[in-house]
Amino acid sequence: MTLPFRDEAHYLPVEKGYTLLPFRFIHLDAKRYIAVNEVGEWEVLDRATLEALVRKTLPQDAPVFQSLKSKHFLQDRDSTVATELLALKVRTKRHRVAEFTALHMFVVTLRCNHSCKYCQVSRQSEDRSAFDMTVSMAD
Amino acid sequence: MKGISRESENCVLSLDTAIYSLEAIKRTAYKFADRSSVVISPSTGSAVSVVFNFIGKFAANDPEQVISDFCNELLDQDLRETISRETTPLRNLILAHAFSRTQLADED
Repeated sequence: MTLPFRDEAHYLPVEKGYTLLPFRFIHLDAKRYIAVNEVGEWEVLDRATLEALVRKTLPQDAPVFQSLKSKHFLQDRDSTVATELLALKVRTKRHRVAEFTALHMFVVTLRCNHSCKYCQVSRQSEDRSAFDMTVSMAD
Repeated sequence: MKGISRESENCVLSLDTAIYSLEAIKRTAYKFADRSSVVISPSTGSAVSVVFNFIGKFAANDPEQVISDFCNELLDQDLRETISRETTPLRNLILAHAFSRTQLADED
């Protein structure tokens, strides 16, 4: 007969500690850092908090811990679905990658008689046909 | 500042690669390329010498401030290495999971 309970280990107190999830950080100003993860979630942290996060000494009852956990900067025993959630978010955020390029531009010449200040092209004068796309290139 | 010496116009910072990886030191040096050219050379044991040749106004201003900023950035690079070491396998797993069944790769 199978007991309707799980193993004893399942009912023991949850193991303390957490693991980091991928993120990057950079200086925001002299005292603060901004940490950003794979899906664009972000958190502003001071240096002590950032270091505590990475060194695994961040108290789990600190408000910033819950914020970081909800934004998928870390996962503990209670949040093991973070990996699947992150993958889903990455997939949604970068779905265009799978669609490859949808816009194609053909620059057939650099010659132009305008002088638009915002133009990114190094325009050429109208008599410089060397900057035209040749028929062989177009083929 | 401790660990810094002067050689004519240049400042020399001594770092131990048992504490900071060479990769972290190089990444930091690259980030400071606008303020100083940096030459990293082996020293005694696991130590390396980081020679600063300050550029433009940074030579006339406070070179020690630049070196102080360099040390802070080195600590940041060290943290980044720790994060990368711990999360790279997970990151690859997340990306693999995210892009599975997208037909990005040729199955043949």
